[in-house]
Amino acid sequence: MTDPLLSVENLRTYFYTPYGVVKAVNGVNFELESGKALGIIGESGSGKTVTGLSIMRLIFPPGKILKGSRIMFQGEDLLLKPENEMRSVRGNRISMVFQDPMTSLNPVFTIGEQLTRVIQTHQDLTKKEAIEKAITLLKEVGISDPEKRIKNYPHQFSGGMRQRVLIAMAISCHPNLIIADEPTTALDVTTQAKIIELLKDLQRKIGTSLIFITHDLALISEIVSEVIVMYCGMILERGEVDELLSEPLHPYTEGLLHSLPDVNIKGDLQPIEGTIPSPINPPSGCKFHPRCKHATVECREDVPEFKKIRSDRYVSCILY
Amino acid sequence: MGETLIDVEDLKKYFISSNFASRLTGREEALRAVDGVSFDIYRGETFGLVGETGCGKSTLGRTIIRLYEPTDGKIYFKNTEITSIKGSSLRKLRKDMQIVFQDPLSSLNPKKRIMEILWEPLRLHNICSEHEKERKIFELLELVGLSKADRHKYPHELSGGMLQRVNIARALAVDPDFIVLDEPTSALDVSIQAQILNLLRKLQNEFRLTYLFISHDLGIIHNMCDRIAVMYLGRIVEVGDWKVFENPMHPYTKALLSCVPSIRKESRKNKILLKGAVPSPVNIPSGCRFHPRCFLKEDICSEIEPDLKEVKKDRYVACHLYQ
Repeated sequence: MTDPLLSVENLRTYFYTPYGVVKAVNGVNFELESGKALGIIGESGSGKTVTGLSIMRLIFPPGKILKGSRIMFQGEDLLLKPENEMRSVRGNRISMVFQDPMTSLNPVFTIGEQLTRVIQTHQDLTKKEAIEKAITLLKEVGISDPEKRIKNYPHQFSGGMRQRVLIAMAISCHPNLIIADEPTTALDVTTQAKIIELLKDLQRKIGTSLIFITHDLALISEIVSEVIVMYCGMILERGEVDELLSEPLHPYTEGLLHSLPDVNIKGDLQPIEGTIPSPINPPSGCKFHPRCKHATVECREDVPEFKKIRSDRYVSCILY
Repeated sequence: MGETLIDVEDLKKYFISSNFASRLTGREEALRAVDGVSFDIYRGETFGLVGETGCGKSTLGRTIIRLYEPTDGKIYFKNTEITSIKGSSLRKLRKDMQIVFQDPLSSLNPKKRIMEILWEPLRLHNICSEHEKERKIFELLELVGLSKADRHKYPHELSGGMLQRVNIARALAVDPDFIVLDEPTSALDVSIQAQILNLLRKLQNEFRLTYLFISHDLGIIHNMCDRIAVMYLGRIVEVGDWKVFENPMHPYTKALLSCVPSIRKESRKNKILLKGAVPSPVNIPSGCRFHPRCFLKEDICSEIEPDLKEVKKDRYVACHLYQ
């Protein structure tokens, strides 16, 4: 097996707030091979976004990535890089598409100015060449009339179009990895379908790896090949997407699936009881035990090991 | 089919954008949020209203319960016209019709404790006296699955799911017949959403409530609703029971349903990707308002607006393909 493109080892990102330490990401491990797409599933507060931001090293005080964490990208540990070198990675080799297309663009600059800025920061192009490149990019992500649109400000674009601009920006330097953090949550289904097709298409064409972060189980099954399930800063389960969704191993994954109102099921849902625990004061042992119907005394005391069940299938639960 | 609780006839709600310049020139623009909508809601059913951002579904919901002044058309509630009632009769009507909003936090007064929030409707409608207050509030809290201790809390101390339970309790306080649920779960996590949906279903059975369930999530609509209406740009394009999901007839419904992601491989259909974006409700296209994006467009579509017609039993479609 070749070296993976990205390998996250024992990632721990804590936030030191006045109310206590929030262990947003607490010991996360995964690898991503070149050209593959990985999904991260989780509800609010599960640490999925912070994982993405940690890879980009966009964690600011009071947040801190703890010593002992390693983020190996193309053979280098990103956490050991000085900030100025990190800048040439961000947007260039790894780029991120953020959740909220409304606030991720600067309202006082035109789309063209923002796009060419990214391009010129990382590539040795003249202003004119950069504008041409920006126009081709906008065309690639399906914005009609890009020559005119480039002079527009973000407020003149609809949500779906802004998201396309963000994707254009993310692919502008042909990154090796795109981290898409809930890129379609703010969009309607018909627009969402178009953005997903676009991402898949681009991934096929330029061979980028993708980390797709979402809370939507159904959506993730349409775009990635492998999924990790996060809860309270930890990975509970990992596996091939169709297998994981058709045969979930962890009680949490199973609960999530039963909570999902699908267009094929009618009648009462089987929700997970209780609420998502507070991040400041998480439960002891297995983080899911207060809501788990299989919970035993053991679950309350020890964090279960993240075990390999069979090839490409991992779960952190004492049932296995 | 049971008795008709709500009957809406050719309802319109326009928002006029008017400023000094437009008044001078006499060119005021109308945003046609709801533009001629007719349907019935039967007692005890859940009527789903589905559509994308800006299609007018929330405006329609709010106009029916008279939070917005209707521009034109008629609304009947229990066979009485309520389109233009005012003052005390309108206030009395509020007791029968309630609403639960999308954002559970911003729809509660942050300066009031849960108990005061729940007391407000009881006091306004003289439902119970001061000395029965506590018992009644306990009853409401229990009904929606909150603990008695929660009554002393402020909204910011509760989680999203619990806040939405408070909102539901507040709506139930006046013992209404009809509740508009305007995206009641879209701000919640999946595992919490399922709890709220089950609660709503339980309460409906217990109190024989009628719901107008507004959502953009087709999965939820299918799970919760007896009949659904699909809206596009201020008009209803299709009405029917759950069979709409099995066999959508209007091209817009077809496209919308095809875009819903599914966890089951076998139910993943070929997606129908619509071109362009939803036109502005200020500048509505001629003829059928869906025609610029329709993949089955014919010549007539850009000229004549199709009416909502019954094409088979209990299925109404507004499309020239079926006229």
